[in-house]
Amino acid sequence: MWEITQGLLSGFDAALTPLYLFYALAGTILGTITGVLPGLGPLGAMAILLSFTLKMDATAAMILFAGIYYGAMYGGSTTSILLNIPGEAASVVTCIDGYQMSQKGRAGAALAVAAVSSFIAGTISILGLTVVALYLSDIALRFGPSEFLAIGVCGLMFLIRMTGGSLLQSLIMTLIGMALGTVGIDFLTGAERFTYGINELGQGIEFLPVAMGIFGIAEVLLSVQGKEVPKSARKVRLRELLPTRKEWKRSIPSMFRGSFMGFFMGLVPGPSPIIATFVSYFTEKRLSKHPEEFGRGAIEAVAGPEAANNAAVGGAYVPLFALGIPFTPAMAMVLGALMLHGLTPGPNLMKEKADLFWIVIASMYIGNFMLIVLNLPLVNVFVNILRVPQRTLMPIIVLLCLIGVYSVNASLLDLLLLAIFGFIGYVLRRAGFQVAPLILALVIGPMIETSLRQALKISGGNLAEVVFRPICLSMYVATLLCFTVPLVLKWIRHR
Amino acid sequence: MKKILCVLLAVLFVTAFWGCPLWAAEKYPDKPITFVVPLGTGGMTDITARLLAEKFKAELGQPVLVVNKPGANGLIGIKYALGQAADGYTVIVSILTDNFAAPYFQEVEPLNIKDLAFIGSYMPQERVLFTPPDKPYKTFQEFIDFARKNPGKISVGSGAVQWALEVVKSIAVKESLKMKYVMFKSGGEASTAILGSHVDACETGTGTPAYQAAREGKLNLLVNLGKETVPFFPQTKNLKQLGYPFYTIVEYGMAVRAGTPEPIVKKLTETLKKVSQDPEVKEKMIQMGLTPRFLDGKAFEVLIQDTVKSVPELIKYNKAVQEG
Repeated sequence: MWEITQGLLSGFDAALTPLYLFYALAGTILGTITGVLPGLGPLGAMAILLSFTLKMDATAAMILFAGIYYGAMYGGSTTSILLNIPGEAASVVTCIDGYQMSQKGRAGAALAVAAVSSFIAGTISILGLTVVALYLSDIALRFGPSEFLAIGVCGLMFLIRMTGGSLLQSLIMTLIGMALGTVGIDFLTGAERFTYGINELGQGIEFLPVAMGIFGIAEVLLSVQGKEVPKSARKVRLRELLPTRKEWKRSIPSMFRGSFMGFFMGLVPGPSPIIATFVSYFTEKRLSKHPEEFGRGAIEAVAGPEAANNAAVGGAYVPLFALGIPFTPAMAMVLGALMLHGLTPGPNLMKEKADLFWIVIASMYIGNFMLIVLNLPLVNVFVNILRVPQRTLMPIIVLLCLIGVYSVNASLLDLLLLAIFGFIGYVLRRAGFQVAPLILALVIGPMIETSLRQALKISGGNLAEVVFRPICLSMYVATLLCFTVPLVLKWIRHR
Repeated sequence: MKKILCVLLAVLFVTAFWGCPLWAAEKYPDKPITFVVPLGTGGMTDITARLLAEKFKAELGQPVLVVNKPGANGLIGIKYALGQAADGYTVIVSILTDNFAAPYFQEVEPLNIKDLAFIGSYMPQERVLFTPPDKPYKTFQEFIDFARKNPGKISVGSGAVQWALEVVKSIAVKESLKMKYVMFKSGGEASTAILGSHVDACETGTGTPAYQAAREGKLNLLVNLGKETVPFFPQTKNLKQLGYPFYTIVEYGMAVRAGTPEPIVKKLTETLKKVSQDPEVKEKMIQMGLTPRFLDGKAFEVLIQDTVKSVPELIKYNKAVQEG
């Protein structure tokens, strides 16, 4: 305990130098920009800056990258709320209620709550990172293919029931998403699935073009059709910018719940941060006093998932620092940066270069603080985006989507997919389907399939061995209870 | 008069035609160069490519952009690069030996060596078989004995290199072992699996988290599936030494589309040679546990030819037992 305080103090002492503060600020600003721009994510920004960081010292590079990562998480929620375009898979859930809120004129409130959520989540997760990295880093290693399967399957359960409404509709969306996830060259056997001889489909249908299409382009198509309520062009009053006291009261518990969920899920490899967002959504809906508002602009539905996705960042750093294993592509980039500076993360790094660790932790706190200071006033600026007339805004959105998608893999196929899914999204939404499960299933489906096959290979085909393990069993049982207990209670009440 | 004019024009034409490449090489590069990395961002290829790109920029005076085009074991990126002009402005940076091996495993049309002009290679990577220290077998021989006595019990993972997994299978064929095989999506994922003891043994490359963990004593090295020495682990034997019929050849290098003017290829080769021998680059790579080593285009091509020869044989060898 004393060691932590000592470490933190020395870290802050070093981090509060002009140079490191500059990099923290630069990182957070860059990160926010990349988060706001749909498509370009923290990974892209880090990739571009990697060679630039070669000339800096390792600590500065780490601070810069951490800033970018956190900043992108903050920025991602902005486009989700204002334009219904998720910047990352982790922002998809924010779109659901966040956008509804902005349609109702509560955009400012949503943005403010998202910012504060992110700040609280960031702080909690950095705290968690500090404690866990030192003592509990081995948790991440307990998760192998069987455990990932459990996470995926349980997450899928939550996903299907997340948006409520018709079970059939949710199932259809989810299954379509999972089916799309099977397209590509199977990495286990090398067999081509549903590629129809198109080489580029070999890498599968990626999340980004589908998300940008179903959310972004479809949105544009819907507005062109004129079915959307014309956005008010009057000046936004300050009162509307900020959440009401009631809204704050409702969001704060959600923020804390989301933070813990996000942090713990971030510890584990795979798309767990994404899963955390919709487990959070589901939880908030169950625990809320106003469940009927979910899907139509409930503030907790923004607070919880936003906290979850930010907290997952801190969680993801734990395995990187403690074990030297990157669990997301962005973390792999951070790892690469460290290695290029001659540092190999792992338990040794924490002992030998403890000062690096503490300085980075300290500047994460500082960065988080900078972000909230930056973002809250910017709420006013961002909200005014909504005042831009449709005929100007929509083409800009299309352009941003195109650039964003192309910037990832320089693939023309991706652009075609963008267009196709834009149309599909339009049709689905006109038909009244909730499209979020489709996108999320696209991400989780492959994870489930891969983990299942890997787990079965390891156990030699023994399914029991895959299911009846301590961590997996507890997840399955907990999920089962989550679903059956309310039903049982309802039944008891009826008698 | 007309005749002389014609002859003069012809001579001018021919000189210009021959002289052009030289002239182009003089001017090369006069616009930014693109490094196409047919693998994911943040991986070993990507990181080393970016490191080299910085140095190339310094040497050639033109910006060098790194573009990732992952998928299909590198085939997507390579096909893309082959579709660009053969002017030396699109350079493939990849584990070319593995890229050539992959189509055989996927049973798709193999790449044609003649389609590429090889610039050179900058780094071999050894694929090492790791195992957790708490296992009853501590050496390669003990591992084989244990596997023989416990058929169907041992699980072996792979860090996304099909070739390496097939080489392990060929060991099993030679020693009459029965083991279970699991493929992971990346060296990182495989490292997590072996560190958490989710598999009994796992092959991944030097430079991965598993390798770094082994440097700290958290994992044991059983054998090197390649043919050279493993940095920091000089005592680990490799399959070639031990007399096994097959081993992996993982070599990171650069190539351009065949038909690129010879002087430009030469210039790229010289730059690669200079850059890979740059002390800063060498130091960084050595610290990561990688071995910087330059091979010129011809030598690199020889390695690729070895690959193209041995991989189909490896597949046949493994298949023969499965059917038998």
